[in-house]
Amino acid sequence: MNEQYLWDGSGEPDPEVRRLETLLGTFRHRGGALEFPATIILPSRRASYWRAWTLSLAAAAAVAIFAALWLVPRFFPDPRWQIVSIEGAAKIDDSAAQSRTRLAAGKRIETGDASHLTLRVDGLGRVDVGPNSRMYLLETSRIREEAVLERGTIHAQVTAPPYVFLVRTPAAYALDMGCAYTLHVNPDGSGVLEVTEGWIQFQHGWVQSMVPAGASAEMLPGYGPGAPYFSDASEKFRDALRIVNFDFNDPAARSAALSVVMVEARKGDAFTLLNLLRRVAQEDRGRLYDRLVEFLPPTPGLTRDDAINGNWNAFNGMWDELGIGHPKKGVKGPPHIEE
Amino acid sequence: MSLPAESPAEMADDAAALVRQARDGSRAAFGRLYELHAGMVHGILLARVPRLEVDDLVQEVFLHAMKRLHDLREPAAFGAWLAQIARNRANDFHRAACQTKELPGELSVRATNSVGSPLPHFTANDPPRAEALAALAAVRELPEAYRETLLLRLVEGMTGPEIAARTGLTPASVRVNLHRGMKLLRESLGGTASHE
Repeated sequence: MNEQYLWDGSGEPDPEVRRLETLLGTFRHRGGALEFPATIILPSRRASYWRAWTLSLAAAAAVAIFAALWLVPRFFPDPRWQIVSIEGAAKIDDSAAQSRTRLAAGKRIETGDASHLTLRVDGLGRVDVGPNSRMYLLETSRIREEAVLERGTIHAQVTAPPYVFLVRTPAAYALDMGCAYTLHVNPDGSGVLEVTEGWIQFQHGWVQSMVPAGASAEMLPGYGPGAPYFSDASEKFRDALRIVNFDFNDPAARSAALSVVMVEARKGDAFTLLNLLRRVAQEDRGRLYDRLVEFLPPTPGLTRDDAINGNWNAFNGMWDELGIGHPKKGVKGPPHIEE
Repeated sequence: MSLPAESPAEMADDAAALVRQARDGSRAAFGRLYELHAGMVHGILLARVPRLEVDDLVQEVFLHAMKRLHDLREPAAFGAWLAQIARNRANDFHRAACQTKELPGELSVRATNSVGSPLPHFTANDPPRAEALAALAAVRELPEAYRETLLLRLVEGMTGPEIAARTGLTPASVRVNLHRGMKLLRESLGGTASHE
């Protein structure tokens, strides 16, 4: 066989190959022209680029729309605070308050002498703002709803998880643990917290009062919250307690006021006495302990010296003995609150 | 048979230039690509599908290529790309079609091809025609690689270098396919086997 002829047709033709060429050549493609259908347009490079660009843009637009629909409500949610009712004249910033208005962070809410305004916080609760109040919304986000009550009164009913709803005042902040409460701030910044359901962590700096339902706590700028007391305590008890809580300039008067508190205390006030142990002067701790254990027998191992020496961990069992529950059991630790 | 006027590299360059023009909307350029490659596509299909289906499928392969021309990343590889389209189209034909049997010679002689040209007017009793059909049948019995290369050489009249340039196969592969395919074909046709 002539390999060269089979390869490229050059050289002496191979008879067998030549014969097959002749025979099979009858089946060769006849070379008819390509039938271009009228409906098909040749895709130009530009058209293909345009199509690629169009597809890319469509995909990018789809991603952007999806991202917007998914992300924007999370990072830029509609303000959750909405005015649901207004009585009398109330203002949002410098404008008259309008019902159904949603309020973003930074808004100032101000009520007049006889006005009253109710806000709904989507999914988190409800806040009634009483007369002569001024409140600012500081933050409204997925993890925190935060407001400042500069003066006046609010009543909050909160269904948010613990530690989400925070109201600051000039003297202390109230961190909600799932509750209802009334917070009143006087023009001088002093005030009182009264809890009607659940618990409030009422705090300023290191001074903390855990206030349960049925109890109240007063506050004073620079001092923070006082020891809480049950709202049915006698007036004498509360007046004396105020001195013990805040009158640090006159130790003698403070010690005398403590005596009144101890005399006026009832069994139900053991809660207040237990709170006061950390707050009174060391020389008063012994007699306060003696009065406390008259209402609440000491848990095994607890001694008078633990009180005098400030061994507060030894008192953990006494808190349980009060029988009012423990607000932090089963609850994740509180967030750090900047003051 | 005429020798290719161009080297394989020049053929690829020409095809690449035509592909670029066709992408810019030149029907004439695509028509030229058709002229240059129709034989190759015809041969590839003839190696795989019933003879009477080949012309229609050639049209389909080129129309498909025309629609997908923007997908071709390397214009110089047009031939190899087109060859693969043809092979795929043949496979699709076998998947989609009911089993089709080649018509006996005596029934096919008066058929016309898809472009309306009458086929050579043979009869089944026409010795040259019968011999040609027998030779074609013998080639189609060969392994696929040999079958395709031999049909491009013996039916379409392409040279080995041209087959390599158009299909993207290496010249060495084409040479081996031609040599071994021809040896098997001779044996099949009862000729004298030559040495390898």
